[in-house]
Amino acid sequence: MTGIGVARILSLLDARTPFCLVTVVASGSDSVLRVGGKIAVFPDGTCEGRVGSDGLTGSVVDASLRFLGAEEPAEVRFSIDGAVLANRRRMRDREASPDTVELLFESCLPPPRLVIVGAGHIAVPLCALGAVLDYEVTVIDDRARFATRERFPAAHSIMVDDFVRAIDTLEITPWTYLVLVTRGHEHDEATLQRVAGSTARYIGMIGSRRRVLVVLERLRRAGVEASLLSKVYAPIGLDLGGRAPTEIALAIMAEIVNVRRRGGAMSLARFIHSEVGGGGSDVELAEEA
Amino acid sequence: MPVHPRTELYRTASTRLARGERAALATVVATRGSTPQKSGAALLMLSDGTMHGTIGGGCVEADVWAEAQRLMRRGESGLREFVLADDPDHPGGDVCGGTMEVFIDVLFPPHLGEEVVDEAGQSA
Repeated sequence: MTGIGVARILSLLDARTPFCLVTVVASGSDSVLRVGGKIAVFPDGTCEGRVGSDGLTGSVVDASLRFLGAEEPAEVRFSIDGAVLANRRRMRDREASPDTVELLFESCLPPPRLVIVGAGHIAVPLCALGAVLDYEVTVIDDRARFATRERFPAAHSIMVDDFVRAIDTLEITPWTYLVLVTRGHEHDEATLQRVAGSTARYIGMIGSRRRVLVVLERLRRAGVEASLLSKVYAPIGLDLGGRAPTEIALAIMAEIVNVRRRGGAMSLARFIHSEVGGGGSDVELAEEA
Repeated sequence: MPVHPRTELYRTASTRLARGERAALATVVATRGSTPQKSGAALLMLSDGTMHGTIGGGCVEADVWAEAQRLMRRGESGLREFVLADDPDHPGGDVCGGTMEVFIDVLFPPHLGEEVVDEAGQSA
């Protein structure tokens, strides 16, 4: 049993390494890491530090991978051989029972990334809003005169390339939020086909209700699974009623916050998900991780 | 460049530990009822009494600080429950009244490693 210290945690955070920080918060056994001991579990299932037995370590890794990306920490009780136990009924029973250990799982992901596909009139205010909210913003367009530093002073990176080629070079992670706002639905469609099965936390696509239905139906016929398409927020944005590009950008950014923080605000996409073949529902959207 | 919100707390803690000081990091792990902060809120307490971050301000932080000082002296971390009393200055006011479970993590200077410094007489 070995743990990692504060200096190591700091170096992982500074290097923007995604990991789940696991801390022993109560222990009823001498064969596990002391209370306050910590290990880091990485997305590939490897870890630094050991909590206890092989069985316990395996269960801790499984739980860590489940909690990676969660907004709030989770507390789980295990037996020392790794079985997951029911949580204590009452907080007051704070002493761990013999041969059990209580662990706190905290997801430490890099800052969220906002990828804006299409550098048109909505992308400009969207990039600014994303930066204000501490998202690391990437803007993509195949037109060099649109994807410029002058138009996107707050962008972390600007890519001038074919949409599909650019998106293929990006690493899409569970902390990536993708916004498809290109000038033509054929570009949105081609990009969506590439990213529909990715681990992105959010994919939104602009378009009228009729237009997005056509695109989603075409992709479904092209073999993209309906369950993946039902997770796409299209038409994009919360139902704010805005019309100006800035207002639409605000509705998009507000929807991203709503997804990330599991808020209860109403998405425009709720109108269409009952209409996509085999698609999801509002409930499914709300539960989307 | 945005960083993880916890980063600065760990940086401050790390600097202080390197100087040979102890510190305590309190993290809200569960709440019940009305509480000022929810799970994940964190408060870093340094041995000189300064605090960084918040787990809800005012009275609960004073209680957490008192408990953290005791735990720092004993050299152990622990899970504690804090009940947020209604504020006597605002009778009938809707002043929380919930329960917070807080993990107080006592952090040691690197050279002390995992060693638990026992101070006889400092009972819980």
